[in-house]
Parts: sequence; C-alpha cells; structure tokens
Amino acid sequence: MRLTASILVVLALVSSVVAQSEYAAKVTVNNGSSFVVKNLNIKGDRLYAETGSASSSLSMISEIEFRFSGVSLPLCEKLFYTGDRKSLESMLEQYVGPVAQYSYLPTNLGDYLVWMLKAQYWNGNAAGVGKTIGLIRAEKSQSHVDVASLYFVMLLIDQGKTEDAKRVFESVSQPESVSVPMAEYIQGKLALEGGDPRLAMQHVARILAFHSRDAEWLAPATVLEARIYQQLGQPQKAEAVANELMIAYPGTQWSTLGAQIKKESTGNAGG
Amino acid sequence: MWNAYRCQKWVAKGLLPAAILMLAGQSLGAGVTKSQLSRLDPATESTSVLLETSKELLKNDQIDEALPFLEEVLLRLEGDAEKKARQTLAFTLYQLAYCQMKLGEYVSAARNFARFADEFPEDAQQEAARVMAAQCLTMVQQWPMVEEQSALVLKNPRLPEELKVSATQLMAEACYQQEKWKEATRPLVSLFRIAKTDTVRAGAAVMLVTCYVRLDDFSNLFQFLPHCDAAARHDVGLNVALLEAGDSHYNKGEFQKALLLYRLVLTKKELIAHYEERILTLKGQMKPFVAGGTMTLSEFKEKQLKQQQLFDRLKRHYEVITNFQDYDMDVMLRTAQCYNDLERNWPAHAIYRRIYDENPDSELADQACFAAFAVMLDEREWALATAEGYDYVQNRRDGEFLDDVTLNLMQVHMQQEQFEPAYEIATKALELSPDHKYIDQITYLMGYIRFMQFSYADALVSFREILKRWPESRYYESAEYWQSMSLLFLGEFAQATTAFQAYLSNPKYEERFYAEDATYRLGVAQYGAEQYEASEGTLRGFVDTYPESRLLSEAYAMLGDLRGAEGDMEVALDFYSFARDKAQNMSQVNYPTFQSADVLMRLKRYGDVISMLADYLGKWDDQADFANAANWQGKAYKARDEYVHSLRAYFDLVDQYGNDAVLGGVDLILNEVISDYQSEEWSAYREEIRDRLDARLQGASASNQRTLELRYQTVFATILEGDERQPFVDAVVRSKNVPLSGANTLVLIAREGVKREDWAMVHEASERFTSNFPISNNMLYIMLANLDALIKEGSYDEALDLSETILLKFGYSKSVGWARKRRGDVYRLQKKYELALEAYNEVLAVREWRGDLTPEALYCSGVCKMELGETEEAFAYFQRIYVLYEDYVEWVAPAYAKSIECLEILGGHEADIVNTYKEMLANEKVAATPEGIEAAKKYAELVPAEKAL
Repeated sequence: MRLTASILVVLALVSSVVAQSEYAAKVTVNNGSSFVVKNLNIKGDRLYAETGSASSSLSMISEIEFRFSGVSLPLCEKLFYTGDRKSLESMLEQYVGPVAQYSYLPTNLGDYLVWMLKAQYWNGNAAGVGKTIGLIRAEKSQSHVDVASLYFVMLLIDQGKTEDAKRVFESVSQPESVSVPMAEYIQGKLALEGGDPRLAMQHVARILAFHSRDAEWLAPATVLEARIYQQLGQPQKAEAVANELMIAYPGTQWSTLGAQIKKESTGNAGG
Repeated sequence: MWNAYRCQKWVAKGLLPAAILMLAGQSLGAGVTKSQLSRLDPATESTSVLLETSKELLKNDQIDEALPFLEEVLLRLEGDAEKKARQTLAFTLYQLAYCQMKLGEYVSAARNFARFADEFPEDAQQEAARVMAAQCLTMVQQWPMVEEQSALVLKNPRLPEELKVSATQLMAEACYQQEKWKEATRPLVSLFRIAKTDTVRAGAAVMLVTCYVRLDDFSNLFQFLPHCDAAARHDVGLNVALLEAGDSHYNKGEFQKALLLYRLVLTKKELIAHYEERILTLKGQMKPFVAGGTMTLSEFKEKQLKQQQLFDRLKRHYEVITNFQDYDMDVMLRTAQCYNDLERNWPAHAIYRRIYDENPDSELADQACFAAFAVMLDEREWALATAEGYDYVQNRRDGEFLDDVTLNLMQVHMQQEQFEPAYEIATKALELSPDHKYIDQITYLMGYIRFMQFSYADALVSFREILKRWPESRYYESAEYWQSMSLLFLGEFAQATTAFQAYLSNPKYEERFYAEDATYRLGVAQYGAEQYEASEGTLRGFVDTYPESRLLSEAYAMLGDLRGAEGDMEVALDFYSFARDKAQNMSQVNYPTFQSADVLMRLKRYGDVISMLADYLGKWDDQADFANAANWQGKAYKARDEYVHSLRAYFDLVDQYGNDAVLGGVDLILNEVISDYQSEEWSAYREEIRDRLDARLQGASASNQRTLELRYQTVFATILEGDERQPFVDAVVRSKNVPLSGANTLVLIAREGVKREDWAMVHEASERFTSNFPISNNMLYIMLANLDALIKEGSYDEALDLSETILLKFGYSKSVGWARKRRGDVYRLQKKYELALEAYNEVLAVREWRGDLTPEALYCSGVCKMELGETEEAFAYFQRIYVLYEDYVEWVAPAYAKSIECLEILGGHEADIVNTYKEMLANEKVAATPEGIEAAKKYAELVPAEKAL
C-alpha cells in the first residue's frame, strides 16, 4: 500500500513547480460590483489597482474572496485527516501565508487560517500557532475565534500553564460547538492536571465511545487514556492502550508515543 | 457481499463494443433467412461462402446459427501456413470464441480466446482476447486460469488503460477468490487507484480491506482507510466486511483487533445520510436538454445515460442499506463488549449507558443497562456501580437481570461494610422478586449481615430458613456452620454445642469446609456450657488433628485456661507456652503471655514474670504490647517491694517508645505513674517519682525528643497544682505542639484550650486525637472539650451533631450526660426553648446522669420556662434546686435569684419575695456568692434597716 507515498510525490511536484504564491482575489465593493486582481496591493487604508495609481478606500470593500492555485479547502481537509499535516502546513504557509496579513479585512481567509492553526498545533509549531491565533482574532469571526481559543488552551496545557488554560477555556461560551471531542479532551486534560483522574477518564471515555472515527481527537484521547491509567497505577491497562496506538497509527507520532508508554508501563517497547 | 456485485463489475464495457464494431465492419449487409440457411450445408459449401455466411449471421446477431460455419472454416484452415489463410483463421477463431461466450459456452470460449492469443501474438486483439478468456473463466470460476491469463496481459507495460483496468480487476479477483490475500493486495491497490467508476473502486476497497484483515495487516489497513474516498468508505460491502472481520476476531478472543474494526464500521444512519445526499445532488444535476447550449443532443444523451445509470446504482445501494437490519446498536454493543473484555471499562460504560438512555424501549436496553452496572463493578467503581444498580432496580422492574443486579448491589454494599443498605436492598430484592434466582444466597447473606451486626437472633432466623427451605442449596453447609456460630454468640452454649456436633457429624458433606473452625468452636461452646471435660477433650483432639491450624495457639491458650481453672498451674503454663510458640499473630502471642504472667504472679514467681516479660519485649520490640508488659513488670516489682525498679521499668519503656506520638500505650504507662503518685499506697515515693520524672524530662529535652518531652510535661501538669503546675501547662498548651502530641497531651491541650477560649486549637487537638486514637479511653473527654468549644464559638449545628455522636458512641455513661446537657444549652442559646427543655428533661430522666448535672439541668429548664413566659413553672424549677440540692451552692444561689425574679414578674408576692431573700441570706455559703451579695443589697433596699436588724 503506497497510496500515501504517491500523494507525497504529487505534492512534492506541486511544490517544486510553483515557486511563489499564486492567487486571485475577487473584490466586491459596497455597491455590489466586483473585480478580480492577481495581486492585492494594499497600502495604508487603500487598495490600489494592479497598474496605475487608482485606488479605493478599504471601507468601500464588502468582501474579498481569495482563490489559491495550489490549495483549496477540500484539499486542506484531505491532507489534515490523512495525517499529512507537515505538507498541509507548508502548503498553507506558501499560498495563504503571503496574504494572511489581510485577515482583518472581510475575506474568506478564516477557514484557511483555521486549517493552518490545526496543522501548526499538531506539528508542534508553537510560534506559528501563536501567530495564527493573532491573525484569526483579527478576522473577528466568533466561531473562528472560539476555535483559536481552544487551540490556545491546548498550547497552555502543553506548557504546563493549567490555570491560564482553565481561564481561557471558561471564556469560550460553547466549546462543544467548536468540537465536542476537543472540548471533552480539554476537560479531561484539565481534570487530570487538577488531580482528578477519574473525572478525566470520564471525559476521555466519551471521546473513545462516541467519536471513535474523529481523525483528530481519537488518537490524543487514546494517549490520554493510557496516561490516566499510568497515573491510576494500572500499568497493564496502559500497556493495552499503548498496543492500540501502535497498531492503529502505524508510522505516526502516535505509534511512537504508544511505544514509549508501553516501555514506561512494562519496561518493554515491544517489536 | 462481493458476489452481489461481481457480475456487474466484471463486464468489460470497453471490450464488447469493440468486438461488435469489428464484426460490423466485415458484414455483408443483409440478414440470412431460415430457408437460406436450410439450403446451406457447412460441410459442402466453399470456404468463401462459409465465411460470407458467417459474417452475415454475426452481423444479424444470429450467433447460434453462425457456430457450425465458423467451426467448419476453422477446421479447413487449420495447418495452412499461408498468410491470408492465417489471417482468416485468426478472424474465425476470435469470432467463434465470441459466439461461444455469447451462448454461455464459457469453457470453449475461454479456450478459443486463449488459443487466439497464443497463436496470434502479433494480432492487435491478442490482449483483448486474453482478457475475454479470463472473463469467461471467471464465469466458471476457474480462478487459477483467470490469474494466469491476467498475468500474461499485465506483462505488457504499455497496455491500454481500459485493458489495464480490466486485467487488473481480473487478476485481483482471481487472487482474492483463491484466498491468495497477499498476492491480491498489489492488483487491488492498483485497481483502487486506476478504477474509473465508484463501483469498481468500492469493490476494490472491500476486497483490499478483507485482504488486510485476513493477513492481519492492520498497519496497511489503517494506512489505506483514510485514503478511501467518501464513496468507497460508505460502501455497504466495505462496512459489512469490517463488521464481519470484527466478529471473526472477537470470536477468536482478539478483542483489540475486533475493537479497532468495529470502530471503523459506519452506522446505518451515516450510510443512509451519505446516499441520500448523493442521490439528491445527482438529481439536481439531471436537467432537461437545452438547444443551443454547450452540449450537442448526442453528448447530452450520453451524459444523461451515465447519470441515469449512476442514479439507478445509488438507488439500489440505498435500498439495500435501508432494508438492511438495524445494526447500529449492535455495533455499539459489540464495541462496548470489546472495551470491557480489554478491561477498559470507562468507554464501555459510556456506550452501554448511551444505548440505554437513547433506546430505553429497545431489545438491547435491558442488557445495556445491566452491562453499565456490571462494568463499573469490574472497574471497582463502587459509587457509580451502585448508582447504576439502583437505577436498574428503579426502572427495570421486569428486567431480565433484576435478580443479578440486586444480589450484586447487596455484595457491593457488603464489600464496603455498608451492612444496613445491603440488608435493605436484599429485603427489596425479595419483595420485588419473591422467587428470586438467588434467594438462598440472599437469605444467607442477610443472616451473615445480621451476624456481623451482632444481631445473632435475626441471623439465626435466616440461617435456619436456609436449612429448612433449601436443603440442596450450596449455602446449606455455610448456613449450618453460621447457625452454630450464632447460637454460640447468643450465649446459647448448650444449643451451640449440639449444633456444632450436628454439623461435624452431618453425613451430607463429603468435605467439611468448616470442620477445623467448627471443632475449635465446639470446644469453646462446651467450655461455655460448663462441660469442661468435654471441652478439654475436644480441644486436645483439635490440636492433634489440626497441628497447622491458625487457631492452634488459641486452642492451647484455652487448654491453659482450662487447666489453670482446675488449679493445675504448671500444666497451664505449659499450654500457654505452646500457645506462644504456635502463635501466628500478636494477639495469639499476647494472650498466653499475660495469662502466664497472671499464673506466675499467683505462684509468686515474680522473678519469672519479670524475666519472661523482658524476653517478650526483647523479642517483639515495637510490636509488643509494652504497656501491658510494663503493667505486669510493675506489679511484679511492687509485689517484691521494689517500687523504684518498677518506676525504672516504666520510664525505660516510656523513653524507648515515648517519642512516637501515635503510640497510645505510652500514655497508659504514664497514667500508672500518675495513679501511683496520687495514691496513698505509694505516697512515700512522690519525691522519688518527681525526681525521676524531672530527670527523664531533662533527658528528653536534651535529646530534642519533643513528643517525649511534651508527655513528661503533661504528667507534671497533671500531678502538680497552682503555680508549680502553670509553667508546664504554658509549655504544653500551644497550637504548634498539636502535631507532636500524644493522647494525654492532646487532652490537656483541648481542655486548657477551652479555658483559654482558643477554639481553633481545641478543634485541632480534637481532630488529631480522633484520627490517631479512635479507641482511646480519653476519647469522650476530648469530644466534650470540643463540644464546649463549638457551643462557645456559636457552631450550634455541629455541636448538636457532636452531642448525638457522643451519645451513640458512649451510651449512658456519666460523662455523656454532660454532653446531653450541653445539647440543651445549644438549643437554649438558639432560643429553641422547647427543644432545650426536651434535652434537659432527657438529662433529668436518665438515672446514670443524676447528681451534679441535676441542679444545673433544673436551673436551665427554669430559664427556658421563663423565656417561654411560663413563669410559674419556671419558679417551680428554681425552687426544686434550693429545696432538694442545697449542697450545690453554685446553682442554689442563682436559683434563689431567679425565683425572686419570677415572683416579681408574677406580682402580688411581696411577702414571698422578702421571705425568699431572708432564706437565701440565711445560708452563709449562698450569701457569699455574687448572687448573695446582690440579694443582700436588694433586700436592704426593700426592708428598712432597723427591721432587717
């Protein structure tokens, strides 16, 4: 089975052919008329024509819709859920990165930035996460801001700033509307950090039971389950869960983590 | 599942039209009638006529009739090497194979297609012919040959795309059908990538998943699945394959693999939603033809045909899914079972709970509700398990598992030593299910609970019921044993003796589970029934029969007691010695040791007592009951009139163990010293005691043993008075000393804390005492101090609770009365006078509490009555004090004052008031009290001086 490999090859080709970002932006002004530009030339609070010196005020623009030659939202979704998050991040960086600064305008960048944020988080790019959260907040879409806040919570938990994480999490009015398994996961982590492994396990159990095909949260939830068993002094159960990680996520960070947990639990990482 | 698709999948759409076109190009134009055919004899006609006729027949799809002509041509041209003849042979062979295929003669067709491909390798149709051969072979399921033909085709790296797809399909299926899972994966992966239609892709995905599952290749399986597009992923066949594979692994006990597979199965709901969306989208795309548009009519028709075919296929799948049995809950249940089998009970619980919550009326709900309870039992999560269990009992009265749940609930409670709730659920169980599946077990456990609660009579009823109603029960033997035990503990020694004897001789049991224990208990019962000789006989028999018994030491000790009672002291000492030798725990060591000490004291062998206990202390060190040992050593020294030695023995042990705050025995030894100091018998040694105590205190201070130091200071604070005492009290009574203090020190801190109104310190000392010395004799005193603190700081509810606890814990002992009186005070301070009066009445009613408390309770009752405006009753209470309890001046004086107050309120009692003043002041002790002094002043104002004089 070499499907992944072939996709990688295709992506590598795409990356090498496209030397720099390419996009088209359909600009719609307040009176409903629209025009397409290939280079968004914004200086100060004015948008300049690609040629000549004509310009219009940004306040006159009602919408800017970007279309990228090398990336689309379905592709983002596909790459994210097939686990090729490194490629996704570099692609978004290449295509969306150059215009991300315009997220404060009424654009369609928000969805792309959310994919970028997710990719950066799971790729361990904390600095990138911080920057993207800023760009998403500038966009001022409450649903995107909520997503960004939850990933910020994740980052804070990873950094051991549990109290801050708790505070930010509580500031999101309906975390379940972003993602039920994510909200459960965060609550599980916070409960574990707060010294209540049984409560943590109840949150984790709901992810395992009802979101078992969630490609983003099932694996971390499984790791968390193993960690809770370790904390509860049940290394055999932790080992069983580690085995699952090694079987179900071959060649990924999750199977590596599984092997590590197995070693911690039994002193043997297995084959 | 695969078979349902196979036929439609393997029709090579690209090839059949090509063959038809080829024939059409060579046709002669008109059809051949039956009469024309009847005039033609293939055997005699010229080859050219045969050929022309064949073409004409083929053109008109008269395949059946074409066969003899083609076969005859083939016959005539075979072996002819001439080029044109070879070309005609090739054409004929191919057409013959094609006709045979059309007529369903697949074996012949396959043979001829293969022959064509073998004999004419340069022919443009060579690879197509092999593919056709392979296709024919699939119809007769000649899979090895299908594989062979497909492999030959696939050797060509420049194979046209359509042929490549078909050949790959054939190769994949051939391997798959031969269960060559490994060989099948390569063409399947390739097919999944190059297939042009969803159906073929989905079919490939199904087979690939099956191959990976059969190969146990979860690695590739999990790498492959995310790459399945929505159409393949939602294919019914693929999901059924996952489900079946899950079942297969589950049945083999491979729960982890089964779990991973079950989790991948999409629910029926998800599949239906997917197909509905696709059908709707397709419907939206099927629009009528618009002339002058971008598409010609023929292009439109071609597109319309494709759309219609897709629509029909989707519709068929949709119908298959909707008609499919509802498996969603089944999959959830199996997933939960896997988690449970893997001992990952939390997700199992979550799933079971949801199945039940969302489908309370389904067939699986009952099982799910029970399972939610059972997995929490497995997880030893008693609180959740109990909640689930009671939920089942509450909501599933007709449930299949009601009896299992009630029995388990009972056992959970028992495991947590919650005997009363266990008994309650057992009672409920029998009420809900009079023919309970486990009625004998429930009854047995009910008896056992009552036994553990010391309700031996109730226990006896349960055990007897089992013996009477269920002679075949597996609990019969246990019931018989515990029946005997209940009688023993009821003090019915004669009956117990009979019961144990009956049990031990009951022929019902092949192996007597309680034989050993029952034999020993029989000896005890006989002893209780004063059948000493029989008891000794039983116990001697016991020690002979069960030399390894855990009760051996106790049997020897009892034999010692029996011999001792007969005055046979030396033999008794021997038995106690055996008892010590065979002891398996400290209790079995201690009893014969101190019994020996007693016997030796009676024999006046004081030296032996001292040396035996020295050995005992040396051997058992901190496990020893050093306080008891010190007591016996002290007694022995005192009996030898060597008091100073006894003091040394006491202090040595105190020094040895006294710095450990939780060892309560140290305080017992020091209590002995205090008792000696305060007794007349040893008054001559008071100075000696103080000197030695002081020396030990200095030693403790010098060695920085703070707990020990506090202990010695506490002794000084107890035996000294006034100014001598105060420095020791000041040194001890500090909040920071609480964590370092032993029992006596904590009592001192609490009591002095009350005087100093340092409530926090009192609570702290009390809390520490309660957790470290739960069975101490001083418990009541520290609780009383705490109660006092609670009342004085205004924590009335807690004070009331504590008062109840004290009553429950200590019954009607003298000091408890004080706690109950304080309970009245709490209510009084809360202005709940009726409740206060009830509390005071309780104090007045209990015989054990009469004495000091009575005048106080009467006084307080009077105060309450006054507050309630019942002045006459109040007056009566006060009057009873100075009439009946005149020795209690501290209550008589205020009682006089209050009764005068009552008379004033009532009015018209001036003479009575004067007389009461007179009576009060006539008592010198009362007159000297603050109330007396105040009364004198008022009396002087009331009565002229001369008259008073």
